[in-house]
Amino acid sequence: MNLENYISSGILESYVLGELSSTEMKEVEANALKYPQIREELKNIENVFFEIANSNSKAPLPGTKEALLSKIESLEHSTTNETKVISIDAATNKIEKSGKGLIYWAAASAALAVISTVLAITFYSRWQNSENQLATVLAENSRLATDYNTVNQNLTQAQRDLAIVNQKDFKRIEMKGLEISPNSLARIYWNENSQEVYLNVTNLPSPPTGKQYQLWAIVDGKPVDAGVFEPIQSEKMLQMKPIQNASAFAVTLEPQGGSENPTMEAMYVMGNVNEA
Amino acid sequence: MKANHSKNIPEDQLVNLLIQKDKTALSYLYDHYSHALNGVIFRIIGDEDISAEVLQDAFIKIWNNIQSYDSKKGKLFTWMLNISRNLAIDKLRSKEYKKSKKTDDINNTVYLKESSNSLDASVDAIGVRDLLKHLNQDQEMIVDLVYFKGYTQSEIAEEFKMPLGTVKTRLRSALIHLRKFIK
Repeated sequence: MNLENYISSGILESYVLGELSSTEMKEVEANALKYPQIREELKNIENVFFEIANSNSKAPLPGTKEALLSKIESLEHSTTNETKVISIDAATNKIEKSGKGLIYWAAASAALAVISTVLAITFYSRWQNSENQLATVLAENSRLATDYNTVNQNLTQAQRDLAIVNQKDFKRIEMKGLEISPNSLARIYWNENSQEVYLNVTNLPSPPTGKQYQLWAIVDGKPVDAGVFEPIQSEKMLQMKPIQNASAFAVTLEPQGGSENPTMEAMYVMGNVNEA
Repeated sequence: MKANHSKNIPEDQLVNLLIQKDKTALSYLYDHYSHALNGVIFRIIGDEDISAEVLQDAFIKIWNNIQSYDSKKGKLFTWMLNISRNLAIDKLRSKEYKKSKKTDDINNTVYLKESSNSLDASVDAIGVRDLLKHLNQDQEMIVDLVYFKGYTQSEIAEEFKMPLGTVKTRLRSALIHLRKFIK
């Protein structure tokens, strides 16, 4: 494949703009895997689009952020089931009301008319039900699709984690519980050369509201921020900030969002690099 | 970029936190990207109230679908940008918003004048000039149509009776030209 022609055809711009079909996208991705020039070009294109957006940035109306956050809160508390029940009830009420009126009317007219009307109502209610069922199935499908993506992502993550644990370039640092939490335990996998830091939590208590755990690396005797995190107890590896020349790692409990400097009295676990 | 930069969370970790439904991550995301996304939305919609609605819808969609973001396919911002832009365009084309605004834009021959009007509407580009000003009229038209009006390159070719190849070449050369003006 002629790389220059491929790139100057503008297909990469179309990719970034989201104009391609999924088959076309897969093709671009396959080529990107093979050719670093394509990856480089994609990065450049994305960068320009980012800067165009930046140079046109505009503050949203005041109050938008708050409105968004409260919408998210209420979305997390509502259930789709509620809506479903309401709409079925409404349909049934409709049918009962018209049924009564129609039976009164039917008393004064031919039996055939009554039958056809009742049939119409029945089919209307069945159609309503199937519409509701369809909505449910659609919602389920979309949930399934999301679940599939989650599982897929988890699998990719698990594969990556395994690779990290097995690589000999990664040093393992056990951070043991200190006085305020002697049973706590967390582990750092640190690659001195690439500076990658992965954190795996074995045991850390859930932080109180408004507080968040923060990882620190001790570099030349001074604490360096390595990122905030949520303590998920599992096999999951969290990638933290890149760190070089660490002599130790520690975790403290800070206000949400983290701090510039660690609260020494709120240190939960710590481990030195040259042990084990 | 206007935003609170006191703690810079690397993209990997930000995505991690969002997947775990961490609200501070959502807040961080909003603080760092809402202006850029809103700028794009506003330039498409042209109404501050509706833009605020669409911006919220975009963040909700991003929040609900973060698991489907694949970092191998591009940067987080690009993914968010496409979501925001598509929502804005859908809104524009929806029944509730049936102004002939879009058709008017096409018929507007003085293209540069149109875009400078939208700049007057309080874009907060402090010290940063609209990047597109570095382009000539033809190039700016294509970039604006593609980026802010949601036309695909094929649609532009059809609408303006241009060969598709010309549209693509013009877009590409515009974008390459703009790279010079980015640090």
